Amino acid sequence: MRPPITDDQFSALIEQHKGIIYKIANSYCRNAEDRKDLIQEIVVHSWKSHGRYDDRFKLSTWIYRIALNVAISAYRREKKRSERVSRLEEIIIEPAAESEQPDPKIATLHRIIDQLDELNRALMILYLDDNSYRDIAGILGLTETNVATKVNRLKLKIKEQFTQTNPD
Amino acid sequence: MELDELKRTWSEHARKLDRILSLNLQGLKTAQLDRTRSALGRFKAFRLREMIVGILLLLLLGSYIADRISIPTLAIPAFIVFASVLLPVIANIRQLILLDRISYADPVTTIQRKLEEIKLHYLRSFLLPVLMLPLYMAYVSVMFNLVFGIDVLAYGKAPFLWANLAVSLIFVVPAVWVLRNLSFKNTDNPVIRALVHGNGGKQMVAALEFLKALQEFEDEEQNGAAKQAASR
Repeated sequence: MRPPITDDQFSALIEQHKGIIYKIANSYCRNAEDRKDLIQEIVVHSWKSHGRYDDRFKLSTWIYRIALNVAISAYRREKKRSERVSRLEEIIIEPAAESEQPDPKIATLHRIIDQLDELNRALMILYLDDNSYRDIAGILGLTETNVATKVNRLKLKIKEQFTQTNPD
Repeated sequence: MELDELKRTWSEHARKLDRILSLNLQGLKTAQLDRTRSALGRFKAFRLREMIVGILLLLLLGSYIADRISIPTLAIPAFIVFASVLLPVIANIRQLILLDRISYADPVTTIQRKLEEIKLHYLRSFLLPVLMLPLYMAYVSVMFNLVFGIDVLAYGKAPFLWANLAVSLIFVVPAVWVLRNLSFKNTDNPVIRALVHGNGGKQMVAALEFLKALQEFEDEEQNGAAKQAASR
């Protein structure tokens, strides 16, 4: 068990990893309102779990695990918005510039991600984020060999789908 | 387009996100304080309420049994009803302990399996009425005694009692079958699907299927090796 974290340390931790949290929330929730909720839930779980951080792993591994576990659970809950209680009004993490046109390649990648089931989606995000097979294995709880096999299959899938949508 | 280029595009996008994403400190503080925000927390609170209701029922049944302990035709059925309430209460306590041990900071496959098993355990409790069907006379006896003050087992006519015993025995077969076959390996079985449909059944089938998918996700390495060996 780690000593309690201060509010400032926690804010710094979330600030440092806000990109990971946002990317995962965005990959499991395309709807802006649900995404806002999901980010809040990831932050709540990070706050609750900070005492259980195992320093044999990187901090990013810890954040990835929490964010993916919360996102997959939320994705599977299929709860209607109206059924939720204690909705917070504040947005915790949001993009400052909404006006920019989304990159078409990124949009295609998101379409590919959307077609994957919740577990392969996690693998895809971790692969695209350039995590090592060892780190991916640690985050997902798989063996490195298994990760390598799955990543190879995913690569083929991305290539095939990208060629179909972007023949040039 | 090469995969490396695609990955570079993703990395550039991630860097851009890091630059444009802003953290709302006020929202962060509110989230830290709001302990009911998590779905897991709400599920725990719900299970706790269920457990309290179960314990109250046990107390009432305990008092009923104490008053009728010398009359076996009333006490034995009441013991059966007591056991049918006690089992879910014990399961509830066990699940609350398991839920308390869940740390989202553990590996994804481990946590998702634990969460789904807890959910499945909970959903299975909806099947308790099916499993208790062979013992339905116990409920009838307690109810008749409470509502009409009649000891139906002591004063019921023999044909009535024999007929009910026969029906109870018939119910043993589906109850045992359900108990033995309700597993994620049997989600394709139409009887299991039909039986669980309704009482939280859709969610249960979804939970069973997800456990199956998790198993396949973890076993792919072995499956791949087995397929390769078979193709040689």
